[in-house]
Amino acid sequence: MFSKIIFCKSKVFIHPSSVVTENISGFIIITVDPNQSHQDALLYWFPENSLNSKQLDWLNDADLKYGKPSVSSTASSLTSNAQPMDDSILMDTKGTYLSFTIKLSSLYSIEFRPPSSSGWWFGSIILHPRNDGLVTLPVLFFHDDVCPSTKQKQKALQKNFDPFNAGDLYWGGIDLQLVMSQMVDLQRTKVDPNFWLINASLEALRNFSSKDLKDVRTNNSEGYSASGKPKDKKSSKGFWDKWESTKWSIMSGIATATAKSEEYMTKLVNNHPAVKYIEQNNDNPYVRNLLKNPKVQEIQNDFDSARIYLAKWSLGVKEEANKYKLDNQLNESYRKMLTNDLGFDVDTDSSFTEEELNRVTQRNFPLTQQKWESFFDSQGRLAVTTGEVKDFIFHGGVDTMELRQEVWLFLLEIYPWDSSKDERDQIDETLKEVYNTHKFQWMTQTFEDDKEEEYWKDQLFRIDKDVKRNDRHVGIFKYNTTDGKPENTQPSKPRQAFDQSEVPDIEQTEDNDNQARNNFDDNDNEDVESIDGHWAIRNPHLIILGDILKTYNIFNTNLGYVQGMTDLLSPIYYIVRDEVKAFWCFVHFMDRMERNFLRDQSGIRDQMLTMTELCQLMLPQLSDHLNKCDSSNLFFCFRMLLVWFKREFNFEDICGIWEIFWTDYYSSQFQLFFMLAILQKNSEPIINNLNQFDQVIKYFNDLHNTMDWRDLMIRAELLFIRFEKLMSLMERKEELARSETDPSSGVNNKEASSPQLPIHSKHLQLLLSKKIIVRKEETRTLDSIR
Amino acid sequence: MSTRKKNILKVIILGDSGVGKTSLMHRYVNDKYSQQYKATIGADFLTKEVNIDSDKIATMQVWDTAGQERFQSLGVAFYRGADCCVLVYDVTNTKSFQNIKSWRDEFLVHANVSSPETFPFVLLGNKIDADDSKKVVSNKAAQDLAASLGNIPLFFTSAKTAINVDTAFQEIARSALQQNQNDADAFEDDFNDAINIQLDNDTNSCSC
Repeated sequence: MFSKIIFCKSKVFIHPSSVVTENISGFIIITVDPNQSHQDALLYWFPENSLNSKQLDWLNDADLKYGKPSVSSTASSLTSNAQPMDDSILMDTKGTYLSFTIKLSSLYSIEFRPPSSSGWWFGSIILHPRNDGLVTLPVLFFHDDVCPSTKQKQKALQKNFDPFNAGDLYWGGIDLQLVMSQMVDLQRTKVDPNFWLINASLEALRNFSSKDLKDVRTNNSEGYSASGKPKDKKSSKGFWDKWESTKWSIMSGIATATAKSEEYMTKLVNNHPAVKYIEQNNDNPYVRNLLKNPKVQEIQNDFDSARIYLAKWSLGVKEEANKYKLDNQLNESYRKMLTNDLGFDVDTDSSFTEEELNRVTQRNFPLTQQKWESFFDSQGRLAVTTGEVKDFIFHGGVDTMELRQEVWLFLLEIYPWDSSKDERDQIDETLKEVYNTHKFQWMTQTFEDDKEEEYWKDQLFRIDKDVKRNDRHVGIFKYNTTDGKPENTQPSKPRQAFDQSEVPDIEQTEDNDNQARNNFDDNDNEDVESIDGHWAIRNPHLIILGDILKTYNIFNTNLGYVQGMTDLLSPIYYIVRDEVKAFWCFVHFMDRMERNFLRDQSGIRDQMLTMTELCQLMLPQLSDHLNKCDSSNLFFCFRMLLVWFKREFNFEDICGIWEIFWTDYYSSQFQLFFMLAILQKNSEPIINNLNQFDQVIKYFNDLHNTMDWRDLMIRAELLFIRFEKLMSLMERKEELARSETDPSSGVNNKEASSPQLPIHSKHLQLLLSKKIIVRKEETRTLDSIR
Repeated sequence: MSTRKKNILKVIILGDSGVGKTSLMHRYVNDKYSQQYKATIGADFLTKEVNIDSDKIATMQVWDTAGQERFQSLGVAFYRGADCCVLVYDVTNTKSFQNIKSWRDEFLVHANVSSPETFPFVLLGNKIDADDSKKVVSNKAAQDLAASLGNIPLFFTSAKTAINVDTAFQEIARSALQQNQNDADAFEDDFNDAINIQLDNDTNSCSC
């Protein structure tokens, strides 16, 4: 066995009895085998007394070296800094009294119980193995006061003491936590903040975060003020918390007061109970600030200004108010709002169940790198069901851009879910060969027919034109230089230009790339090109995009390249960052998207018709209003549906949205429920403010960068659940009606069996299917529309 | 069925993808130019107050559309009620010039205008700022085409350097207003009911 030590903590005791002199001092160490998965890391505890002085020296050395990891440690940094283990230690301690070894991934959970702040009792941990009942491991106590590594770190932390950082108290167990969280998926539960789950299933995570839990912070501040202490930092914090939450309810009130007078606005603010409360309690400048806010003033001074603007603004405020609720875990009120917005009509059915609401609103368990690794066995084959993986992705998304690079290859079915590592390597080889064959085909194409030649040249021209204008605000596509970086003519621009909201941040391997990304802001003066349309593409990433699209153009020769495809490829290439793999991911994505691009537009029309029916069924009020606005064709959905909302959200958001759609968790057409959520979310401002076709189009075209996709996803899921229930309810009713009436007479039957009933709609029925809808383009001829 | 207010002049821009439709719209309405416009998907519009012949004010709605042919079948929805159609080609791209006639025909099929013979079109040859060596469509050819399409106005423009854009849109606004009033008059004839056109001075000047 070849193992390296990555963690060591001395003075970890077992207390076999309450007698202090019987305490047994020992070491916790973690070792890894560099040839194996992080998940196979081993945790040891053994007593000091079984070791000789040389071994003790080695371990005390290791304590100082590996006992105080930094917060920024990662699994790979830990492994690369590790040194080979002194094997004699493991041999000599094996089987000694109370000593034990356990694989980290064999643990179900671990309790980290911090010491009392007064030092009255020690911090301790309890390990719970998965096969509970068979093994009980002793409680391990961290004697921080005698542990050299802990003492050193304490000293360092005191030096850099930050009075405003109210993080967890430092003790020896925190170091273990840091290391473990890098090797396996470690999730703190809400039920008990000391209780952490290891590689937990989504079900376990849900069970351990009960909705009844109060925000710990709120409890604290209430507790403090109740104790009658003078106004200290804590109680004023509680006060501000309250203010923050009321501020948004006022703002929402103002926002809905669309065509009201200034007087009305002032009254609204002054009479709000929260304002009164605040005025009585404190000389608070918020109201005055609120009224000084230029946005609010603008509205006050110019109430007749564009209705669209007002509608949007009102939504923006509500959006922020909701976001606030989400950020602050005001789960209860958020849930109430959702139930109000999306709940059932009491006459026809019950509301959402607690379980449903729990599942839908808990989106804080993303698929982490550690979790992902824990899914695979030693051969790299998935050891859990695809359902479980998809549940994680659907409800929490993939944690980081780097991890997407791996996960997307499965989601887009380049790799079968049940493949082994070896099989995947084999697939890589094959795909590369096939890709190169196709690529070679268009690079060396010759033509017999002039018209045919014209078609292909036209297509290549179209591709180049669209690639040149694809996502040029994104770092890697921005500069048309052979290395994709800005030309070094002048000293680099200040780094402050970094725009966090828009820049997807991956590719840590290429540090130089940072600069390209930092200069992310739209800078139209930066004229890299002489005349658009007449410059050659030099940026390597744009060249690859073009090559992939040209290869697809010949690979799927009937469909070819159609505008909009660049939008679909761009995020895929950004994530996968490999020409061959990005091509095949794109091919698989196009399987389901092909129907959006058909010459006769039948596929996209179908979806718009489905949307119309869905809207009639689920949002009848809005549907009526859109009819009045001449917008019942839902033409304004076209762009969103064609390229799956690519133009409405920023790059990183789109990655989060698409990977959820790709799971086909509820329906292969979940994008339509997301669309429905957008309609639902905007229905109030639309109904109140818009009354013409062009206004509606404008409103939707201008939604980009204004929406919170996580909230929309929650709504989309609830809408789906409601839809599914409605459909089965209608089916039951119909069956009942059929059985109650004589089928031959058909007297009372006419309503139930009427073909107009939504249940009979092919469009709506298809929404319940998880199978992707593939519609291929018909054979292309020279006369086909392009 | 349609209750569109008649004080808005609706203008549709058509032409092959990449000829500069979006750029022209932005140049005219916002006086801005960017290299970063993406290929247009679906349709969008911008509005601008226009002053025509220094005495009439109207609101112009400029509609920008996707350039790829297959997406035109969805155009029906927003062609309706158009007052003027702007046909754009790229002076550095022969193909875009050759396609002008089919763009016009396509529009007439879908827009369902009352009298196709008199409906106003304006032809724009864009990217005139390009190097002479890149220009492949001669002015003569463009003039011939404009003449053959019923002597429609022709302008050589550059959205990038703003050459002729305002002038062209002045003409577009004038044509659109004329058409709008013709339509309104026709409406009046039909129903013997006046429709207000919001103009500064309420002339009923037109009658051709």
